[in-house]
Amino acid sequence: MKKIHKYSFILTVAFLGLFTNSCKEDFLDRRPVGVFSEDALKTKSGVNGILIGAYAGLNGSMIGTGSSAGADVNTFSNWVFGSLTSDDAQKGADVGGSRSNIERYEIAADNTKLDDRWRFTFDGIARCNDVIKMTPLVSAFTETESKNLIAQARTLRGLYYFHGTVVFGRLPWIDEKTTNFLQPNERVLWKEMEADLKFGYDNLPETFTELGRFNKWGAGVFLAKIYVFQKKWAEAKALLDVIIATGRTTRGVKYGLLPKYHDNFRIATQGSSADGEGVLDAQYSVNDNGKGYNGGLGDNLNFPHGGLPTEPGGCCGYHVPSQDLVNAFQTDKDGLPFLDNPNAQEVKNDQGIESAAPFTTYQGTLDPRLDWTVGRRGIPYLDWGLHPGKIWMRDQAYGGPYSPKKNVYYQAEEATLTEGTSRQLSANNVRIMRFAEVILMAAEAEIELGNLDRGRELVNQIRSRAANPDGFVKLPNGTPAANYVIQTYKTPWANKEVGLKALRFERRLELGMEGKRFFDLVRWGIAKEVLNNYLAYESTKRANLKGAAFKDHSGLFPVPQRQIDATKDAEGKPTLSQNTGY
Amino acid sequence: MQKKITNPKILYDVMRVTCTQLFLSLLFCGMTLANKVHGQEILNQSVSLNFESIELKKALSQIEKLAEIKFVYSSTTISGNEKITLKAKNTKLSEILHDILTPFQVGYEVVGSRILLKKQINEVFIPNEKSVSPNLPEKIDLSITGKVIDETGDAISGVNVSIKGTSRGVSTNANGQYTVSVPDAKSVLVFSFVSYETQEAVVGNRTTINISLKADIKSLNEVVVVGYGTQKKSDLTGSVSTVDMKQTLSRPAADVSNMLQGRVAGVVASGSNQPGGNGYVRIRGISSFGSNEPLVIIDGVQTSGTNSLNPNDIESMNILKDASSAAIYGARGAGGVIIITTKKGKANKTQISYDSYYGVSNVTRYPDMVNTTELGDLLWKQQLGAGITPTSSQYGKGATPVIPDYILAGTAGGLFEGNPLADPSKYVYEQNGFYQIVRANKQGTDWFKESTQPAATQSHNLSASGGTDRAVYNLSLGYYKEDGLQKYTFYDRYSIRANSEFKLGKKIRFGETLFGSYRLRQGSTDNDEGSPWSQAYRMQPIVPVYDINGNFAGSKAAGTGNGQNPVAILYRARNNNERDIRLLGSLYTEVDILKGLRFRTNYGIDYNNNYNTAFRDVNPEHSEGNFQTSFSVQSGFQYRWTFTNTLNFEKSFGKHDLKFLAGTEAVEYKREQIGGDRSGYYPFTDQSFWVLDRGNPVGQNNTSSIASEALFSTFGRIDYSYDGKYLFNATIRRDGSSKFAKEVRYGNFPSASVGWRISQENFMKNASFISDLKIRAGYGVVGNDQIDANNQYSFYRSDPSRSFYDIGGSNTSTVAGYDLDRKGNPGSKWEETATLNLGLDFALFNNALEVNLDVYNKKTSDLLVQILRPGTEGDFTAPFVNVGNTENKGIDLMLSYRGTGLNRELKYATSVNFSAYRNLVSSAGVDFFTNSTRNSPVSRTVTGQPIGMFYGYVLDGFFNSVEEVLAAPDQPGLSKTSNASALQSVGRWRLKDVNGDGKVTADDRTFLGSPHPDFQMGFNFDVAYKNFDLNMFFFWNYGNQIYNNTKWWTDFNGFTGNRSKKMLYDSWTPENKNASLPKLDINDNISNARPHTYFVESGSYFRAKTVQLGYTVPSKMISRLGVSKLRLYVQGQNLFTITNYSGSDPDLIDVGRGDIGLGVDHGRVPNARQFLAGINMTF
Repeated sequence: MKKIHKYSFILTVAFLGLFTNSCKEDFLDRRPVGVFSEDALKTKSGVNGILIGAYAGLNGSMIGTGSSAGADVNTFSNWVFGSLTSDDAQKGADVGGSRSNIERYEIAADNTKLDDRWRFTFDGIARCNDVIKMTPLVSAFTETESKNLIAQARTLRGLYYFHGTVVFGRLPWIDEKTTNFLQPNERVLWKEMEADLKFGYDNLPETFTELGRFNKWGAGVFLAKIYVFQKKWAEAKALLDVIIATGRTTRGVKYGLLPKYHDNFRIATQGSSADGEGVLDAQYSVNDNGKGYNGGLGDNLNFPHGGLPTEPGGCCGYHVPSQDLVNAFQTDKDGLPFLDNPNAQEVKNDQGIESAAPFTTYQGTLDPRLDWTVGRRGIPYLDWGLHPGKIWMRDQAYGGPYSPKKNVYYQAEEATLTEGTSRQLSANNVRIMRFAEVILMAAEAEIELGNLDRGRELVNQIRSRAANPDGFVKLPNGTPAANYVIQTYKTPWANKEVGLKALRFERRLELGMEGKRFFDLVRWGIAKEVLNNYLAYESTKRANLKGAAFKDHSGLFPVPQRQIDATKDAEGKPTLSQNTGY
Repeated sequence: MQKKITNPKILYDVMRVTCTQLFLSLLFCGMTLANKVHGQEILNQSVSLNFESIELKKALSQIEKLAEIKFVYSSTTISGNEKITLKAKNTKLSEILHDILTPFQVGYEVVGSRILLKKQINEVFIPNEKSVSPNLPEKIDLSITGKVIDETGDAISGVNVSIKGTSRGVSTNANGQYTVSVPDAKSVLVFSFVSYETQEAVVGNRTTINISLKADIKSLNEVVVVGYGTQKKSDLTGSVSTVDMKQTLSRPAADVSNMLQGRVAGVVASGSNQPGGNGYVRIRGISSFGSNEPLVIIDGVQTSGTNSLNPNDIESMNILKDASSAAIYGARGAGGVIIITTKKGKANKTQISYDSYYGVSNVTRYPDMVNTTELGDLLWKQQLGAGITPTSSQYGKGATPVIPDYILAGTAGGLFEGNPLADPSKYVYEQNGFYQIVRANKQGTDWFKESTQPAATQSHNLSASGGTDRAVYNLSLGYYKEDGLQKYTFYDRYSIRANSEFKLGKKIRFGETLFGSYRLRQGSTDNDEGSPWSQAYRMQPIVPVYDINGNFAGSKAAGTGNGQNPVAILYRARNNNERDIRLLGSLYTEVDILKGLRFRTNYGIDYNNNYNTAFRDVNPEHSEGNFQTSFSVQSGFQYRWTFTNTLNFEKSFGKHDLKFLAGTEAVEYKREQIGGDRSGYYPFTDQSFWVLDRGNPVGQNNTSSIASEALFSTFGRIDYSYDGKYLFNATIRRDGSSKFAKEVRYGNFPSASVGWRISQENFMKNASFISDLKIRAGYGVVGNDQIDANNQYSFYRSDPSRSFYDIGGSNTSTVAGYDLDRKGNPGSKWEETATLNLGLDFALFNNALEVNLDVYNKKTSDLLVQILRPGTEGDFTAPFVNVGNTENKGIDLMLSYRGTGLNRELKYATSVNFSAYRNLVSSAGVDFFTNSTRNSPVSRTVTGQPIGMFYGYVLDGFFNSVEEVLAAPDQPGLSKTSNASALQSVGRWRLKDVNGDGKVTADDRTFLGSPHPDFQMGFNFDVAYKNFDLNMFFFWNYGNQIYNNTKWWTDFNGFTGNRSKKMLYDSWTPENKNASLPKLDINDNISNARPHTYFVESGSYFRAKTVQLGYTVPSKMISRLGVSKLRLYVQGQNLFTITNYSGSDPDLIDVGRGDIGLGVDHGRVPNARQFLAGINMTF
């Protein structure tokens, strides 16, 4: 017996001894699968891909994981912070929800929508910084390639900074060299944005085969916009003169206005060979395996409400134009807008009228751009038939009688140019910058500099295009859908004030519902007066605005509390400071 | 080497290390080779000896050497003065022992390779003179039969029934019955069984002797499963709680976590409120900001989640609570360890048992919401409060709200009878021309009641066990079905258990455990704010469940918000399911290499394969609904294998008792998943079309992922005791984890503990009322690596939805790009928890009163935290970094008292357990939040406070007048620019200027409450009288707060939906300034915009968890049916709850949002009241 046990023991030891080679470290090395290390991307295609990632922010939905986190407030359409905060539009839909406090200027610093915008802004910046940092590390790049990449990234970075600046004002400066991310927000970063955009303007090529890239002129336009925001009128004029004279789109099309106003908001014409107006689009795309995130997720609430195939988008009745905006499109017998008190008379609407009940559309004279900007009863809604009024409204009693229109796709495009799983996502680009705005910026600079005639001439270019009868909304029988009367300013403006008033009004008409109005009002310094007048008027129509007031500090939104909390230094003192009034 | 063959590599390594320890052990034990006998065989070996007036102790130690056995006894059993004389030649050991021990009233019992000596004190049956007939004829082989039961009347199988003074003996069968032949009436039968007090009975003139054995809870040989082995309870020095499985299993529960609630001091547990969901178990508070889940070891296999386990298969469940007991699990031990062993067979005749119950559950607490009329009133008051002429798409425009007859016809609402729009002939329920007509529910739909149901639960368990002395087995089949409280949901579990063990010769044992289950969760499993339960308070009462033609109605009616008909959600999800197959098993071999030296190798695997499908059906009745459909499939497998090799060595010399353990362990986890979805199924939406290929290929999605983790460990333990009085234990484990970078991959986790059994000291001998008294102290360090496996790595992703862009303007395609997905922290290392544990165990009055007290101080350092990073860094998954320390100080106290009365016909036992801990973040490193609610984060973990404190503003009453507003300090949402604007704030809450700086800002936020209870207590009462038994279990949770986030929806202008009665009846008015809620004002976006004290409520509750009444049918009534035991019972669960909490259930475990967001109520189905009836049968 003893022997047997000895043997079994020896055998056991021998068995164990067979396996004494150690591979322990391999066993404990578990690398993630399906992802890319920084080293793996230090190649030409890697850095190019990171740049694509930086562009990807333009579709407004790059942060967060798994949900639509913040796309509504991050999108470059700026409908939340730039439009429903203005006299253009309201939140709409129905009572409650999470944006009422924004349109009522009651947002608190710990509102997550602020944090979403902040994180989005700096994620865009971080992506650009990655490109700027990594490009020099790839020796395979020629100097030209390298400069091109860095210039695109810096231009984009300037744009992301601007996207954050209009909301928060002062921002901390983070660039490719930053290692300590606890930077203070001491001032508005005009200087830095200028430097980035100037770099792009000086170094970018004029054309690219890919439509969506920033070219030299695109960078120049945003540089001009930064000048305009700073009231650097001389610099703006000088730059805009060059751009207007020689600027071209990425595809090499000379900058110019599309013949028809609405072509800006049609998938078919955006970026076409005739499109000299698209300076920078958020290039939306659908059915591309991106789960719709590349298809205008941020604006997916902004469709007539319904859910049937006959109802565009089908949801959710947000971002509704105001009566105040609709009134602004009234024209006088000369085809000019009522610059003073346009609310004196109202464009009739179908508030409170069932869709089945008869309704006659307003017969007064109107700027034709109204019906490409606002969906209203009795007017063709693209190819969706006549807008039926109340049945497309989520809760007309609350949200009013109007629908947004510029972000809507055509029925003919359904399923091919809308996402398979959601009709509210389409390939209809947001025009972050179009040449019409370039002309208006130039006009503004000219007027500010006292060149009233040149300013008027530029404004009239805009109005002339709008006056193209081919571009009017037409009824099925081919006649204009409403009584459109629009003319250019034929008489010289009496003075700069009149000129400015006309210019500012024109900006509102031309760029209505495009998310720029609030920021314009703030930079002009007239937000409080204009918006409180608007609230006084509009709240007689819409209960949701009753009691709301624009306060002295409401021109900027609060720095997210979460970010202030996240930037405490060793002593517990935050490096970020809150905007006044919050 | 190639990557693929990982397993052999680790095998090499494990073996290498094992060998090292093997040699060490061999040196240690001195290489004595000899025959090793085991169990009963010990008694049958023949021994020759010759004792001449020798001390009994010396005699025993000589026998130890001769027979290679080990006697275990205490100094009370054998004092040292006994002398014996004995001569024997080739005599059976059993006879020798009988001869030398009987004179001193010492009995013996074989446990493993040891022989336990103990005083014989119980002589249950003393026949009186009359019963013994003096003329009883002498009979050879008098046959005695009988049955052995325990105190609750259950038959005990395998009881050793021996005839005193002989080696003859039998065991009881599965029914507890035995038949034994005795030489004469004077024979004495000895009944002995592990964990029970041995009893003797003189045969007398009886032919039937039934015995009730009394559980010997303090018996020396009660064995507790500890890490990689067992320990006698008396030798324990760490804090180990044993769950009384017999007691626990007599009260049915779906899941282990359900069974644990309130049962064990120091363990906080709660079952899932959803059938088949994961429960929640936390041991001794929360010390980590990340995962605090205890490690679960089932038959030596590391697993997570016990929800598929069949509770009936559990033989024992032990909980290692302190570091000195858990340190043997090193890196995985910080959350405590639950060791579960499943039932093995016993060498016996086959025993078959069947256990079953059927029960019905009901929701008993519903939120108190307004009805249709009241909602109209509320809408009117809200608008009037905002200075608006009231109007509603449904209730009209008049001075008072008017309930319409129809809320929807086409798209019109607020219609009355006779309106041509509501002509039923217009009704179309198709995508083209959809025209729905819905009547108003004038009384009001109670959406909670409509979407819930009385839920049936049934459980069936059939098991068979038995075996021979060479092989034993345990087989069981289980079926469990639980209907959800929400309609159209249920959970099915089929399980099978097959455990067996074989002996190969005398020294080698093979065994396996195998558990297989098939689980099906059907219907909606959503348990968050989008869940059907939460939708129930987002649906207005005016909306009926169905339209005029029986299709679902919903919020498509104007003005009714965007809630979703919860009945519709549930109905449409009724065929969605999650299925999985789990195999959890182990194979082991034990080899007795030398005397006292045992090698064990154990390979176990927990394998899971799942397949989930979900269909999104049309929902045109929903405000945001449509006819879009999609179908998704997700499938994957995961496994975790654990390969353990240990050497155990035991040796006693003199009064010294030494145990030594060394081992290595490797664990690998892997998960691979794929998923896909397509859309465009309408109008072919029924289940017969549910395949991906049927959907539209345009816009299809597919994904796959792989993740793996590995752990490699070596460990050792020494147990030493001197004279059974002084106990010492030390362990060390070294773990290497793949989750950490090479440089910091390894951690060492040592522990040591000591114990002193004071009751064994001579000076305690006279205190006979003290049955046991022990003090313990232990200190140890355990680790926690529960972070994302990729934490050390930084990498970019290529994600079509996040980093791709249509740079070419194609409209339907994108160019691939990259963006930073994760920033890694290669410096992250183990969280370490050091625990000091002091324990006191004592038992009085022959163990009738038992007290176990533990106090502990648990300090966790290098906490792994995903800290809030400034947004300026960009958006990526932030790594866990080691910051901060936490402390948990606490007390676990267990008191139990057992007794009998009424001539032993009444038996009762009562126990109370008490747990309290105080949690403190001694250093958070930085402030951080949880992203726990829809709006602002409400939980904050910060230095100097407990983890996850609620944080926000303090309400300071209402502004009762314009003057008060104008005089008030500036605060968020307050406008004082004019009297008119100030008027708007009258009736709203005033926020408190906490820091007194004259204005209310973010700096005035403060801590509003703690999610941690002051204490939890469980009260258990057992009473048995004759054949009846009654058990009552109460649970008391005291002192925590709950952040009731459901009020955001029900008490304010959140989303349009339904509102609470409180909002209508107890909002501020000039007449009711002492209200609960601010003035009704439809434009009030202020009052719920920030976290504040209104949301914080007391979470204390006292709940009657279980009351059970059982009846055991007398065996004579059933024995002819072949049934040896039949017990019937009825039980009530959650019979009543005393609480002030206004939400649906204060037993709130918010699984899925993390422990630092603890105690936030996002709306969930409450625990139900359940009544059930059950049966336990043994054949």
